[in-house]
Amino acid sequence: MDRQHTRISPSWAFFLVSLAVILMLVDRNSHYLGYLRSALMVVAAPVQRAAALPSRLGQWGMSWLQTESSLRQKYQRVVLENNRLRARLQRFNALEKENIRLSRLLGVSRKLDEKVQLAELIKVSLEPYTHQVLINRGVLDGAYIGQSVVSKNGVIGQITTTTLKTSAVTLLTDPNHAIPVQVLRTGLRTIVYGEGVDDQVKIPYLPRQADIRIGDTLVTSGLGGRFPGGYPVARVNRIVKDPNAPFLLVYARPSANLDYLREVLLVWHDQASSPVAKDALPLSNKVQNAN
Amino acid sequence: MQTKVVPWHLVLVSLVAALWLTSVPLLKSLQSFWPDWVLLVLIYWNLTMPSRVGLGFAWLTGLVVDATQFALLGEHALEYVLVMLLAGYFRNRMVASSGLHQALLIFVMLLVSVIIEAVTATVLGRNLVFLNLLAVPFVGALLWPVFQYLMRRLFQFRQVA
Repeated sequence: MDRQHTRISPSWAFFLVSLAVILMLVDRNSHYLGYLRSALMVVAAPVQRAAALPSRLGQWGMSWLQTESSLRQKYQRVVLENNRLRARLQRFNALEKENIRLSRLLGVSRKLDEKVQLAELIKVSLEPYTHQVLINRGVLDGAYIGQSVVSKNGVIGQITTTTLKTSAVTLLTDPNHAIPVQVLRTGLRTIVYGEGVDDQVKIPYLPRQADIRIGDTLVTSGLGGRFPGGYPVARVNRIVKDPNAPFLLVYARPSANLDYLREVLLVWHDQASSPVAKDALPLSNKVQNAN
Repeated sequence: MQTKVVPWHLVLVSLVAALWLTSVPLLKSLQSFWPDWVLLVLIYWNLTMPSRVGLGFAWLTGLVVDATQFALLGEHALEYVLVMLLAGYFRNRMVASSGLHQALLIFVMLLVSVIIEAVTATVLGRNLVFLNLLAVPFVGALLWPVFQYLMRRLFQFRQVA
């Protein structure tokens, strides 16, 4: 081995350590380092995609092993579900038109239709304390920082970093994530916070006499302009009533199955603020007659 | 004077491979026993080519790892720089000693890296499973002899005039 007597300069070491600490403080308390993170992800994202390859190959291999009969069954189920959803959608269209009429009557401005785009998960964060995932849509696809991401069962989070072709999504359960919600049953408005625990979010600031029950569904309230309203977020599963505490502590389970995410949807909520991807589909209105 | 070096592109290849290895998804139960390959590779290069792979390089690599792991920017940079400092102090001892002694020194270095992680996590208010963190130095020390041998075989030194 090369035996060199390289001196370690203490001032260089001190400088690097201080720089690292400053970077951490800045990154924790602000978003100024967003560009730096995006730049670093240009290097990191291909490696992450490559790291996801083994499991994708495994899944691909498994899909080859599916028999024709099981595929046929799956297809039938999907057709049935599709028909059921289209029936519900007609009712939804009617309700939406009624809602528009009533909003106009009340003089309330009507929110824009939302457009969605499908995205696939490339990687789930391995660190036990950050809850982020990487998806295969980036700036070139029209994704933007702050964009809401939902899965078929509910909101999963929002995009916090973008590169050209990938984005990092911070999940609901991340300790740095907060989302304004509304209790579906009562209309009570509050905020749901992540706390770094899988499958759990908390609502820490409800007054003791607030009307909330186990089983209550929480949907996005649309306040704050970030998340469009009406998407399921979580279901209350535990209420802690400590007589000495000024607030109720409520815990809820996210509606989206955060452990088994594969495909998610990016939602374009306010089209005035960012360009919509060309292949994004509108959520409501005419149902395609595809047979 | 002739020096033996490994060309830069091979060093980068080893780091990218290490990054890939660390990022491969594993069963959650096995996750804590999977070493930080990037750190091990950095230590190896610092031992064998200290003039090329030093504190600054470790700092930059740490930043890239931060981006890959969705961690706070600077977290791994801090950890890697401090561990590299220790590696620098241990270098002469490492080079002159046997496998067991080397593994022991690696154990100490990884213990320091784990302590830094734990302190960072506590300061930032994250919940952490300390028992899992403790596995890291043991696994790293056990792997070190084989790892070092593989690295030497895979990345041969060339003579440079």
